[in-house]
Amino acid sequence: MNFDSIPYLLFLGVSVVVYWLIPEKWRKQFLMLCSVLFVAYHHWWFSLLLIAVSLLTFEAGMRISPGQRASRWWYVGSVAILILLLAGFKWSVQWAGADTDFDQISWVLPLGISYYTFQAVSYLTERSWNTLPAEQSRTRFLLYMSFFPKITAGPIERAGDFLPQTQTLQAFNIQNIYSASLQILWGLFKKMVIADRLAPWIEHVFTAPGEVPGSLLTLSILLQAIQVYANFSGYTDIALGSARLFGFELTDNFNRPFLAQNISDFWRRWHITLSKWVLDYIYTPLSFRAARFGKTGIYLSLFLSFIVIGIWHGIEMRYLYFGLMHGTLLVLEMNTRKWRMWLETSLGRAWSVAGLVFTFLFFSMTTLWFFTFSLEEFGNVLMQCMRWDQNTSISGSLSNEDYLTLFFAGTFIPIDHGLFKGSFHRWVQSSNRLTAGIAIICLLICILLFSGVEDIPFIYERF
Amino acid sequence: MSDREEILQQINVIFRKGLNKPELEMNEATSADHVPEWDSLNHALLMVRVQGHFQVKFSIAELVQLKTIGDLCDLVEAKMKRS
Repeated sequence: MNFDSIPYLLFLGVSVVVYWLIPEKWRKQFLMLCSVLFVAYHHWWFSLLLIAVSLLTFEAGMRISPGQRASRWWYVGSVAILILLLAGFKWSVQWAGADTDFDQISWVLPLGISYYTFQAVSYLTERSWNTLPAEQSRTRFLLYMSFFPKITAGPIERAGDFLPQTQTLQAFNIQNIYSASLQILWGLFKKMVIADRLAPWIEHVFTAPGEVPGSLLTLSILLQAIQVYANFSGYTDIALGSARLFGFELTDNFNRPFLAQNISDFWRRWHITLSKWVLDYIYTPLSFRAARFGKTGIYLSLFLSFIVIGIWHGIEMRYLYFGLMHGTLLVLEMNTRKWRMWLETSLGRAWSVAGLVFTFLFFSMTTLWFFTFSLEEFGNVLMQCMRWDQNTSISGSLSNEDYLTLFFAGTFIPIDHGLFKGSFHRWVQSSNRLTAGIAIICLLICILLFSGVEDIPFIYERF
Repeated sequence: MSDREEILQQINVIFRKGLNKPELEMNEATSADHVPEWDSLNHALLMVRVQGHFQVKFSIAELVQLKTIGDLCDLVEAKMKRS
């Protein structure tokens, strides 16, 4: 049930109406039931697995009490089971040869397993650090693990942020419903108009890179980065908006990532809940232990952290290299901070713009690597990009529909990052009624008339 | 000068040396957001120096909860009282 499909919007609408009509004491149970049904809709045993993982985590969390010897075993044992389970399913995708076929992945890889496993590990680690009390209610904990707006592709929510919201449920607030609906609308626009229009373009160009001009191929590498952002942040807006319809606040995964001026800044703005998870539970403990070996220890911790980010997407070399490329640039940035700061002071705005362009180009290149299946394929695309001597120009290769796609993609980032500051609903709510009304009508018209024609899945659902 | 002020002053010295920033002046409310050089690379190295200087040992759980220099002073003070 894709977030941009009619069945999902109907499911969401009915759930929201029933949720606010039933007595408050039943609301948590109702949401939990909706969540389990949502997962079961994809495959019944996905629900059973989710319930089993949640109960294991809940029971382990109750038994982890810092300072006790048995507690350590509960922590190590439960985390090991969770990680082995996740790794087993990730391997099964490879083993079944389903890594290239989205439909096959959705049968082999349980829905949301990467996301809820990381949530479970986060909860257990916080318990072992004694920074979080043990949750006493199975219903609340199951709701934390399974809440359907975030099950498909995150955000990876912290128990400390979500569980308190299940204790005191928010009262009905029409302003909140309006604001959440706007967020969903903007998410639908990003996914259906930007990402879904770009998807067939990208697929066409990268299926036969030798048959398109180098200039078009180069442009497509940049557009692919925009497509991934529109797809994933579109999903996230729909997820956050859906949660807010029930009065729950989830953590945003994006903060205008293409304004980042270096790669460490980028990772503070892109897939924030994953990078924060890796920072808190992998990098920080590792680096504190490794710091006794000086900077070498820190660099190794950083590389290991980025390897985790890479293989979290799947156990494949391309994901591992993706992590290593980002890790390498981060180490370079750490070592050149002094002269980068000097350049920033000397060159001012020009340096900031150069940093912004470089970061975007680097991300675009690593995204290309992320979606290609071999070094040979990656090299082939890059070689084809150099073929600027062809007599075919971009303009000769594009149809009117392509120009429209280019218009939407080209104006999207300045509007999203610049005008809306990454948040359409906040912008509308701070605008006057006329401007807000025009903006909403324009969005609706764009979604109705200019959406991509193919049914494209959400990219991060496959991880 | 109280023990607390003494700890803060010594932490300032460690950070100045570790970050190679002699003019750095931090107070209890200072966090990594206020000092650009205090990034995740330097953070671990600085904490190791603080541990060594005060002859105390921090756990990972204690370290991940540190947000400000005031939190660090609290932690050092508590550890020194215990030892």
